[in-house]
Amino acid sequence: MTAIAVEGVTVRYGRRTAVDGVSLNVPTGAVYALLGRNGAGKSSLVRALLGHLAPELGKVTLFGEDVWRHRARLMQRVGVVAEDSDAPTEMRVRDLGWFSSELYSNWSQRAFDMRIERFGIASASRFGDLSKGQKKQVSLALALATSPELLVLDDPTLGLDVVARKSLFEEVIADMADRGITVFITTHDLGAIESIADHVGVLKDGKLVLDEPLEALRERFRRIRFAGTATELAMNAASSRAWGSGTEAVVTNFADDAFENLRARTSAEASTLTLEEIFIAVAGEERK
Amino acid sequence: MKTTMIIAAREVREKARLFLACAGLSLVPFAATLLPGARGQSGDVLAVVGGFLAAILGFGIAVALGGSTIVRDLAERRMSFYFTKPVSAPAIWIGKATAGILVSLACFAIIAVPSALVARKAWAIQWLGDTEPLVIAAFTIVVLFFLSHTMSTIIRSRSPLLALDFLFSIVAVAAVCLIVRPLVIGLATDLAEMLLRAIGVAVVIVLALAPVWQLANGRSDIRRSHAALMRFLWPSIAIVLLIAGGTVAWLIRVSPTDIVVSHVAQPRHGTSVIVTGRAQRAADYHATFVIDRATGRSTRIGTPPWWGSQFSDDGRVHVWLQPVGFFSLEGLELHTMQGATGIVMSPSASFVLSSDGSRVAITNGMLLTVHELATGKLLASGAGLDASSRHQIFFLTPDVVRVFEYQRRLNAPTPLRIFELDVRARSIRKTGERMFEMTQQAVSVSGDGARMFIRGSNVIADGRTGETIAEIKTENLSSSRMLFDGRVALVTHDGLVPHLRIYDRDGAPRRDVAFPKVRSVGIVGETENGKLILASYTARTTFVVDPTSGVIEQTLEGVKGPMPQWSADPRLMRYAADQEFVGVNTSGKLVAWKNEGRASARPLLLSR
Repeated sequence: MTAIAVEGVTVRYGRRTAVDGVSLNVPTGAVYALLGRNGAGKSSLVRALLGHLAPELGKVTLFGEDVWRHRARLMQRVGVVAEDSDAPTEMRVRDLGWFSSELYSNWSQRAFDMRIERFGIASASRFGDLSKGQKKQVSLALALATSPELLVLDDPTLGLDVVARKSLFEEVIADMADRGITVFITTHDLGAIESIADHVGVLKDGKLVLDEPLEALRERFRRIRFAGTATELAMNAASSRAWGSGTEAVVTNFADDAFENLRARTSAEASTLTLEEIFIAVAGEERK
Repeated sequence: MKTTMIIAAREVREKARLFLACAGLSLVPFAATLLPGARGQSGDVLAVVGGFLAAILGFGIAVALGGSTIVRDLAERRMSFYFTKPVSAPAIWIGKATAGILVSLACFAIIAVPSALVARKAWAIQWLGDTEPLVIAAFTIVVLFFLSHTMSTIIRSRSPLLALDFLFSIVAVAAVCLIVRPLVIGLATDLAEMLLRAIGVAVVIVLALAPVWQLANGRSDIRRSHAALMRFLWPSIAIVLLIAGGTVAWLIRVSPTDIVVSHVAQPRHGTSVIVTGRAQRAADYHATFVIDRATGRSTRIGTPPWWGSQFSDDGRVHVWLQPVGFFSLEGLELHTMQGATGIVMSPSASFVLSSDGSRVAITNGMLLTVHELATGKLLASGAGLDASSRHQIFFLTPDVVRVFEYQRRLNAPTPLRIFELDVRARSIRKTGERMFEMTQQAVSVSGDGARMFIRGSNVIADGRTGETIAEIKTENLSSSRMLFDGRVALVTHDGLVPHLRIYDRDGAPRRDVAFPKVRSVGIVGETENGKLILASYTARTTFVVDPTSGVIEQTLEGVKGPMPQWSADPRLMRYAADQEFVGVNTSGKLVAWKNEGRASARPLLLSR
């Protein structure tokens, strides 16, 4: 079953197109990482996905229902950690828990209290007085205590230190292991997401330029070093550069046969790429 | 409903500190009673300070909360907190607005109640004579909250659409002025007030509902939110104004048969009559028509006659004043049946038509001008009048205009100045001045202009110089008129019975006619064959009296009319001997009667 279906969504702000005809599907139980450089349109797509703005074209459905029309009902099944912590600054942490407990039918006060305690946050603290990391932790605790079927994380680690990032991802991973929820995440923290994401999408200038399972990406994208020139490479090269007297290239359609041919001629070596390297290969080109 | 209450409860909880602050401020009125000047008046001080402080803070908090409750969250990108929760847009708005309004009302009450409890009597006198001030305060708080939200959304979005909002606001205000204008011109002050209240309530309802649309369609983005607000607000206001405009158009569309006539005026000769009345379906709205009794043809004119309406002696020329300017009363323009004359004067100006209807004289500030009516051409003018004084004018001859000028000082000695403008010589000069005690309409003049009766001083004086010719000893004067031949007719009250007293040209008493069946009468006309017409408005009875013999020749019960004309011009209340008079019966319908000894009136076909 599909948790998220984005069909030809276009989002515009005046004359500027932020998201341009994006379509993607996230199956139930998947962890989908949406990557992109700053200004690529990730947050706009997330806002459309959560029913915060109506796309100019296209449609977003969550669990088969139009999110723009049925947002209030769908939000019972969705937990959200926003890019900017948006809870009212005057509210105390425990009041945020009370407020959410009144709104969600699946609210788990115990889960919320345990996480807040684990994060070491005093429940009497005002939200506005918390550090950036603590705010994200409270937001995550609120989102997870609703026992969501879909967790949407919009750049949750932005501005957090390494420890806070690790703690945040550990919570998500634990919840995923417990309940098998669907996760849609936008992040710049490619190292951390690589271990949990199973689908990856890359937005570039509002267009979805890559959308496939992470394993397939790893199969497809390889770094090849060989004694020869790029013209001898019988595969698509996302980038190439001189490597000593030879060439180093990142190919986007690695094929065993073609590589064996190349190795026979040029003593070529192939290595897998990290998600970060794949992302740079796809989206790293400077915008003109 | 539950989510609405949860959101409202959260908002109230967040603003609970305001209650503490207001509780502290509620002591201010008590502190004010300790001021040296407040000793002995502590009740009044408590009531006044408590009331004003409560109002200022209540209104201020309503503005502050209205402008921040939603818009601050939108501007600071915090609205997503609510939109990521399972709550609908109406629940967010209703919850937050309910909380904001309740907090504002509670703050008002927290400050007001302690002083009101301690100084109950003073509060009752100062504020609670009836419950209206409290209702108005509560309504104001609600209006300010909604208005503040809308204004704040528009301003804080920093959207280019702001220019459109500004434009639409101007258009809306202009439309309201245009809608109300015909009612104001028709003296429908009650109806205009009712309409403005209805428009106000409708706009408040629109302001209360628009944010639901705003949040449902604009959601967490302030610019989209602003655009969504506009999409609801302005079309809704346009619909309200269209309905109001349509209602007014329907209300003011009346025919002569729809009105309850309150005023009629007619010329010396001819069959024209000007009729004003309240439209039966339109509360206090008045419509005015010029009706030709010979043909039955009626023409609607855009003014009530008491702004100024006159006929020529033959009834062929009729002039009246109509307001100039769409949004305010910038001036009055003379109109004839042929259209606007282009002759404009200020609302405080006076005008008079010459007996042949060819010229019009106007006192406008310091100026006296004479125009040719057909072309609007200025024939002569003279300066030197006192703009702050009142002026009575008339054409002594087609080429000479006489002006009586006096201050509006009731029952106190004031100078009466007499001027004449010679149209041929184009010169104005003061011909006389005297002191007199002004009462109401000061001066009435004989047909030749040689004599005048000055009411208040009760003297017969030279019409040109103001010099006293004779003094009339009288008391309890209620109506006066110098007759065309120079005799004087006065109405006095001896006890409860009005008397018509006739004096000859030298002030000697000649006749005394009592009207024992009515409590008051006034002189409303004089016929060319020397009969006087008097009317009792309280008893709605019209009398025809022969002033020479002192005999009441006719008594028409249930008929009012003709009407008096407040002018010094001796021709204006003079009617042909065979003129058929038009009056109003007790049902407000037009009737006609003749001065020929038959004491009856027949209904006019037009007003059935």
